[in-house]
Formats: sequence, structure tokens, C-alpha cells
Amino acid sequence: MAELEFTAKIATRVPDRLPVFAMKRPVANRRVLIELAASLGLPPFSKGSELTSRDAWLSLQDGPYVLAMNSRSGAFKFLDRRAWNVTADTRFAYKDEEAVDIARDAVRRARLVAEWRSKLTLGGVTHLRMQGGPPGGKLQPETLLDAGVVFRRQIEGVPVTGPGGILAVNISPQGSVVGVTRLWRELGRQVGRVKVVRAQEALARVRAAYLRRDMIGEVRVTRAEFGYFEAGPALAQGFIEPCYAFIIESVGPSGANRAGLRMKTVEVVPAVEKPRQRWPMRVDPVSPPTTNRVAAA
Amino acid sequence: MATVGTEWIQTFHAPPGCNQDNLSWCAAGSQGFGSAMSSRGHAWNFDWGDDNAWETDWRDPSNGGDSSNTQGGANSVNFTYLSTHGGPVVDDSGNNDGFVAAFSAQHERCLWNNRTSVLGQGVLRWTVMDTCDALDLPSPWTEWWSCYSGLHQVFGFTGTSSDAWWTHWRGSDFGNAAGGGSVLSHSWLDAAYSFWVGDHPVAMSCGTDQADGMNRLFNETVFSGFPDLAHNQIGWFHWTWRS
Repeated sequence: MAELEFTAKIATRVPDRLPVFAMKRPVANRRVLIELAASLGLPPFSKGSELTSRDAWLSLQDGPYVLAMNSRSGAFKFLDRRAWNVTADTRFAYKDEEAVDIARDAVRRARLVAEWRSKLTLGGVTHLRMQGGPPGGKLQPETLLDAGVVFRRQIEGVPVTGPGGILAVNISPQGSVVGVTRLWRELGRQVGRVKVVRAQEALARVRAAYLRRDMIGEVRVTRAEFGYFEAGPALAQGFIEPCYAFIIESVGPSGANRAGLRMKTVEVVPAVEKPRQRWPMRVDPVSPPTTNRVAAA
Repeated sequence: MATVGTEWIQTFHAPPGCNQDNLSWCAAGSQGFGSAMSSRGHAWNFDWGDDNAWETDWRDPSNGGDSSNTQGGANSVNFTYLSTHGGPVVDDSGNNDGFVAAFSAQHERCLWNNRTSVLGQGVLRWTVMDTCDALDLPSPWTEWWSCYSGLHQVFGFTGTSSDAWWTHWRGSDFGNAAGGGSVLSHSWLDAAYSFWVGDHPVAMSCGTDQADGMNRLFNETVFSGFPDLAHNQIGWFHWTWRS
């Protein structure tokens, strides 16, 4: 049985009690998308603009501009497709601090986060990059193509963890906003105040679960975070509650001419005794074309 | 329209069987892709999971494999999606010079080594390796150069990729975008990047030269019709990623 090794530290001082909030049901329609387009400073949509709906995503497309909103989560995406006109001369030359300033200004002007109880904190700056070279020859230097400024969310001073609670703004080499990803569900009313489970209890639950899994090789907790949990774009979320989130990585045994195969997964432990929010831990069934296989004679 | 084949392995076996840590969300990734492509009008020809997914589906007949079989051969469809464990093959100097993916059925081998393959010799154009370490930077081409023979693009990750509830939608998200005619590299990076989990997707294209490689990487869709390049016509690899 594999023992968990903790290479990440978790905040051991967490609040004794925290409020739980209901989340407002998102509104996704053409009018909301047009208002968002206007707030981003896009030109008025033409008669040729196209509104489509697919898998809970409502998309409005006009020329190079694509705006989309998920009706379950309210997740919003904006893309200026000209950002993908990459040539050998394309270079993103702004410093990260300059990109952050441009992004902050865009967020403020476009009112991308209007929710007053939440606060924006800088999560980091990513870059779209490219590189190439002839097989066996010298590689070109790596080139930056954009900046993706990522903001994270805090609610009443507590960070939001998980795939949600994120606002990313993409800045082009010309310094304009060419992409937005916002997964930031609007808070509703406070529905209660709950006692927070101690970090040691959460760690003990994860440790016990991995002892039962009988994993081979080394297993490490490489990231551990406490915060309110906000889910990904495909899911509706009725309540936001505190949790502990862990990234767990393992390395299997190595073989001839290869290192051990690695694995990375995520464990989320509710930090409340009786969570209000339930998550579907299964996927929608599909109808695969083949199900049973027989080797050819 | 494209033809699609998906394979996934998440339940392995104790020794002397094919032994790896079990995974949980590979079926969701591969089947999500196949289902999304199918909903866009493409033909999802096969989906093999766990012990029904075979290493011989990827190995070339010249090396004893069966990669052209129409039941599940990688070279028998335009677009493949494999979700399992993966990692680089390293040479004696420690440099990556190939890629292995783990299978659960010993049919005939537990590990597929892509140096035994000739990918693209049939109709295969694009492949997703939804595994760890399939396109490791700084030189992802070294893992794929030997088997590139008509293949247009490989989509994978540098470093680890998550097997998680949070991120299992990347297969269906990619299939929805790619199947609808969006630029493939952009669609993959958009679907598979995760800031919190630290998943760093990479898309890599070949070309005759730099301009061709870049043009393919930043413009190719499933409907583009870029010509196939034989192994000896490849003069350039170009890749893009977010980190």
C-alpha cells in the first residue's frame, strides 16, 4: 500500500465558521451577449450575426467575434479570432506588469465582475507560445504570442478554489483584449453559517482513501488549498461552500529506456459536515459504436 | 467528414498482468470526444476500452502489429483519441526519442512504443494522446518524428495531465469545437488547458518548411484538406502551447 507524501503545505489556520451562499441562476440569452459585447467595446452586431445553441452553450458570432455563454453556469467566453492570425513576425513584447494593467483596465471598463462581495486577486500571467525547427536541426527561439492574465476570486477574504472563480483576459501583441474567459457565478443570499472542518481531518480522509487504493509507486500531494469551491463551466451550482482541494501525483516503476509513468488527479474534500451542494460524479451516458471485441482468427 | 476512433484504458491488472495505477476518467475523455464528433456529423467508427483496447492497433504490420485493421486500427480512421498512461522513451543519453502508452490487455504487449508505428500510412491525420508527457517540451518532435508518416498533427500535454472529474470534459469540448470546423490547435489548447490543475496542452504540426508548418498549425481544421506529407517530406515541426 502506498503512503501519501505531502510536498505541499496547506493552511492550517482556517476560519472556525464561514457563511454559505446560494448562487443565482444564470441568465443566458442574446440580449445578455449583446450587452457584454457592447461593454467590451465591440462594434454593434450586424444583421448577419449568427446565434446558435449547443450543449447549454449559447453562441453569438459576427465576423471575427465570438461570444458564448453557458446556461448552466453562466460561464462566458469572448474570442477575437484575429488573435490566431499568427505569422513568423508575431511577437508579444509587453511586460507582464503592463499586460496586467491592460487587463485590469478592461475588467473595470467592461464591468466584467460586478458582484460586490467578491474581490479580484491576480492569479498569474500565462502566455500562448510557439516554437519550431527542422527535425534534427536547431530549434528557433520560443516566441510569446499573447498574455493571458488570470484573476482569481475571493469571497469575504476567503479564496475561491477549483476550476471556477476565475477571470482570464487575453491581450494581443498590439495590446488589445482578444479573449475573455469568465467563470464567476453570481452570489445570491447567505443561507447559513457553518462550522469549518479542520485541515487535519481533511488530510486524514485523503490519506485513508489512498491507502485503500493500493497504488503502485510513489504518491505525493503536490498542491493543497483551502477555499470556497466553484465548479467548472458545464455544471450548475446552487451553493458555494468551503472545501479542501488537493492535487495528487504518482510515479509508477521505471522500465528499460523509460521513466516511470506518471499520474495526476484531484481530490476535493468538503470542509463542512453536511454539504448542501451535491455533485454528479458520473458522466452522461454515450452510445459508443462498438462494445465487444473478438480477436480475428 | 472525418472518421473517428477512440480507445481508453483505466482498469489495469496485478502482475503478471499489465500493471499500472488505475485511472478513472479516461472513458469520459475518449468517449466524450467520439460522441461530440459524432454529434457534429462525423463517423465514430470504433470505441475500445480497457481490455478491448489493444497495443497492436497502433503497431505497424512491419513490426508485427495490426494498425490498419478496420475493427480498431489507428491507421484506419482520420482522427484517433487515446486516453491512458503515457510517457517518453529515453535514449542512452537521457533524451526523449519516443513515446509509450499503457494498455491493460497483453495483446500482445502492455506498452505501445510509437517507434514501432508508421502513423498516417492509412487515412490517419490527427491523433490525441490524452496522457501525461506525450509532447514534452522543449523538443516534443523528438518523441514523434520516427513514426510521422502522413500524420498531420499530434495533440497532447507537456508534463502531467490530470485524470480528474474537473477536467474530463476536455474530450467532448475538443470534439465539439474540432468537429464543428474550428482550428484544431486552438480548439485543443482551449479545451485542455487548466490553470488550477496545471495541465499544459501542446499541439504540434509538421510541414515542408517553417511557413508550411506554421500555416498548418494555426489554420488547419478537419475540413482544410492540407496534403499529407510522407516521412521524408517533413522539413519542419512547429508547436504551440500555453503555460
